[in-house]
Amino acid sequence: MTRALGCTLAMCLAAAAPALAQTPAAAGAGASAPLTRHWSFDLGVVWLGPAGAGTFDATYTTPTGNPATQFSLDKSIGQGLGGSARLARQLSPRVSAEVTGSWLRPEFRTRLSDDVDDAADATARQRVDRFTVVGGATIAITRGARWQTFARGGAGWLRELSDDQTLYADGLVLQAGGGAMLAFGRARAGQATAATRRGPAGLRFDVWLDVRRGGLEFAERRYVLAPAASVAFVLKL
Amino acid sequence: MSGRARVTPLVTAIAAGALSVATLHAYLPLGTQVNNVSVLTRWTSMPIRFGITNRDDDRVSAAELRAAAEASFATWAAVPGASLSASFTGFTAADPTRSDGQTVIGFEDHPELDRTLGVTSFTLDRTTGSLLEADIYLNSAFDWSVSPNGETARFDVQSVLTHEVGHLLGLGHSLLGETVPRAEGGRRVVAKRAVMFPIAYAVGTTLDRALRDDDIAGISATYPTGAFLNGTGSIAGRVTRGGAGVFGAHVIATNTKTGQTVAGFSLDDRGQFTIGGLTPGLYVLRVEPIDDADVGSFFDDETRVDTNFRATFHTKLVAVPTGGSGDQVLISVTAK
Repeated sequence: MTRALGCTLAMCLAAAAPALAQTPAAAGAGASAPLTRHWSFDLGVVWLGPAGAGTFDATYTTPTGNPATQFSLDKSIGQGLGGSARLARQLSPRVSAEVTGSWLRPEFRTRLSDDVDDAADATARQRVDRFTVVGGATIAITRGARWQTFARGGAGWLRELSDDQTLYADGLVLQAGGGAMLAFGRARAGQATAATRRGPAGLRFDVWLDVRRGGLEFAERRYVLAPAASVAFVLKL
Repeated sequence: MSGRARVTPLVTAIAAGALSVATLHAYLPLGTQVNNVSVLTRWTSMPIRFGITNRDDDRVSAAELRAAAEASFATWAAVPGASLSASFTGFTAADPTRSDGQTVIGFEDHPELDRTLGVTSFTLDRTTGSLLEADIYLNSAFDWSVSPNGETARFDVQSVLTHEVGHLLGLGHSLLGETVPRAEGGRRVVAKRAVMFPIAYAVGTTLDRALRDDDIAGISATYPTGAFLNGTGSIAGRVTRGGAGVFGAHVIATNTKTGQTVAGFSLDDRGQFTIGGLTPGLYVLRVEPIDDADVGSFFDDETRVDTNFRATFHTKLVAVPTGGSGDQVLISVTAK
């Protein structure tokens, strides 16, 4: 499987290199040439990091009205892996708008302890399907011959679904971070614009802070913050 | 009168009576057998008309008892998911222990019932399970109070009546509580989370005037509104030990977000249980044996009840969808 993927990637690279070689060079600064507002599409792998989701005690009420612990819950959202697809449109040499759809499988966990009847500590789990559609923008920070770094922000819709597919809830997701794009093939000096400076394919690396609000009711806090990262194979359209 | 049956009283405090248990949602609803099928014991016409005995207690007048009873009925009637009502018909000389067609609430002196604060008894239609009459008496052998904030060394009339009215409406006992044995016999409440727990708080407290999650889910499942049926879900499954079903296991569902806690029992020999009236969300399940009250407070066939297992957490968070239930849950417990 790994070998097949490697071959596919190599073929893409081979196709990309001649295309870059055929890109006409233009003398002078980019400002002198019309901007090519290209589209790009990428497919990638996404990782969502772990996040604490708060603690509370299940309680009884004593005759004086005070709580008495029945057992304690320590909640967290475990890391999840999934995939993403993104469509981006360059708006200016530095700015692109994009829409990203992703699917992840984080695990909701609750550590159960301190039981009043000495039940053995345990962890209750539920694997959750998480779908997001996020609209956002990237702003180029540096633009080298092959590498471009950028900052990115976005907001969008979130749906979480229990693993038996019976319970779902929608929410909001906010993302802020940055990354780098590696263009395949060699850039040539003096190309007209940032858009044409890099080849038609590349790899994109993103890291961001993922802020979740809503979704399946689980966390004690309104917002749950988690680190996230992705690697995607990009094609200019 | 062939279709009518006077049912064994249910009592509050340490001792308890028993009824059959409907194999519907637990908490525990009262039930009866009609043609070998368990049906809920409930009122089928509203409002429930009740009278108050015209005999005063030492410290509580008939008018004060009426006010407390109306407050108790109002507490249950205010549950958003339940559709029920009650109306006071007047003071009466009728006896709150007799099957006479009148639902009556009053005081009775029973010093021999030294652990029994109140008793609810029913007359029901055996062909349908419908309640025809229910009477409540508070045991005037105890000291009572109708003070708004309770009184030291006195039991709160409204708190105990709220429990007894829960029985009158068709609810059995809940096991959401912790107790310790008392040197003089019986058990003392350390803490609890249901008005329908079979043992009352100690004197001086008024906490049982307010319903808890389990009481609310129970009354809502017994007299459900359309919104309740459409807006809540349930958990269904089995409790097993060594592969065999466990009868009488107490299964507690706790919402991981809100802390809402509702419980039920496994009610057949396959260990099947259903807990309804749950707000949609993710729940933790915990199973325990009946060990904080007499088994007879919950089941009329004590010999079938299995109490020989350890309290156990289920290792999967259980999803409760709106208006239904998720996958069947299987919880395995081990012997003590």
